Amino acid sequence: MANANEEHKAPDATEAVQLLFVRHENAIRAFVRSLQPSLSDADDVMQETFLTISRKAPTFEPGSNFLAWACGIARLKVLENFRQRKRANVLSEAAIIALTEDSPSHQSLSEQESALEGCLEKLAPKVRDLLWRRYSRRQSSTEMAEAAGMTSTAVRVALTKARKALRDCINTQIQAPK
Amino acid sequence: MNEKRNDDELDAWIDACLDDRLNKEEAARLSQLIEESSEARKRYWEMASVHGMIEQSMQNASLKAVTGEEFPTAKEKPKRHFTWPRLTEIAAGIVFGILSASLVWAYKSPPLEKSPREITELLFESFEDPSAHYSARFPKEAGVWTGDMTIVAPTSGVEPRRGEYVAKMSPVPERKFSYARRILDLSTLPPLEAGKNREIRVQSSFLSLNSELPSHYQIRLAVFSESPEELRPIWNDASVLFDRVLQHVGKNHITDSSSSEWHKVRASIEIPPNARCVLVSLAVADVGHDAHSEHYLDAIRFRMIETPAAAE
Repeated sequence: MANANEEHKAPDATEAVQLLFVRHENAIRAFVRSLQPSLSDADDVMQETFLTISRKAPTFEPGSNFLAWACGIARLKVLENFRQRKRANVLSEAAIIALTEDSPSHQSLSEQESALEGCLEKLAPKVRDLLWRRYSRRQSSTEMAEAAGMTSTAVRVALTKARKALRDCINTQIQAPK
Repeated sequence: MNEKRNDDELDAWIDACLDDRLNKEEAARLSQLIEESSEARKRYWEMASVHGMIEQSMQNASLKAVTGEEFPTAKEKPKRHFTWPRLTEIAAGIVFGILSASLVWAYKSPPLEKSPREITELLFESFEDPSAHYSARFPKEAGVWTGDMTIVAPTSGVEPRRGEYVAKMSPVPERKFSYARRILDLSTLPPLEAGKNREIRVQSSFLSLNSELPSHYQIRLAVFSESPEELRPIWNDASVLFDRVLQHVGKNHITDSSSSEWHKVRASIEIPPNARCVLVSLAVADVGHDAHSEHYLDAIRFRMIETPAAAE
């Protein structure tokens, strides 16, 4: 058993990967959420991913691509979660594997993230409010409808349009000459 | 025309999938398309990436919106406005926190409604007893501070954040961080009402002097089902720790450069069912092997925040 002071001498590798995880959390979480629509399942996957990279820290080669390594672990955790839940109304395991093999490069995601910032500004305040309710407060369509004075269907349509508008705006900005 | 209709249908399924509202048949059809078509996978990723990035943006905006300078005692006052952080400079979430020197707020958003959050102050510590002595070891019970600190009167360049004294952190040879720790016994809190979620938020002010290099401030929160008396051997054995901890949050803040101002750092952790106690670990260090800063802590707050359970 370790003594009370040994915690202070935790391997540098563990601390290093944990700091890298914090630094890249946005990108890792975005990757997980792309494959894991359920918010609570995504939270579980993020937690499991963090614990696993902490355990596997000594196997990470400093200077190599941390994000690729972490997303590789996150991918396995998504699949593990998927097998445990065995839900019928989600993508098949084969589809998830196909998606992860075709996932966009991290540079591409970084470009999208930068572009998203400007695209969010272009949305109407009411639409931004819906996005905030959906993604931050995690409100249901019914709750959003009540707060915004809309029908649930109108809320879902507005969210769908907003996401498409953001996707198209991002694509336009990325393809525009610098 | 037909191709356009197919794209629209595919987009609708992808959108429903990301909102977790596909039915069984739609899920099977979309899965088949994704397996067979690189175009379907491309369209999925385009929409899914947006979905993931919006979520991070909005959650970070929300985090900032409720962390004002004021210190509410019961119901949090509603904010009239909040702003959104730059996506490239944020790193906050449910599990882990921020590693960034600063946050920049770039957007205005619509007014908010009254927040349903209830905030209760559990502890405010400004280290006002200069005769206090702290064990350097990990706490063996709840409700006491341990660590590498002594209470001192302010010296030149140190203005207490609150009160008349501050905690000075002592460097320990061959160790990067100096620590201050305390265990919060959740069994002393009122039972959580049905339909509500509970989180613990910890805030601390950090100050460093005499360094030409950045400083590293850290808050770690860990929730356990074990009693406070049982934590020490678990915390000190990394092979056991990660199998026993129920939740674990780490927030790191690295200053821009040599700074003689107080830096306020916050971290929050969700309290899961069966939780018995929370370990709060505050740490300071120099960034760079040759740095020799004086580090101080002051104005530490523990708060309990309860919100209605979120709808999925």
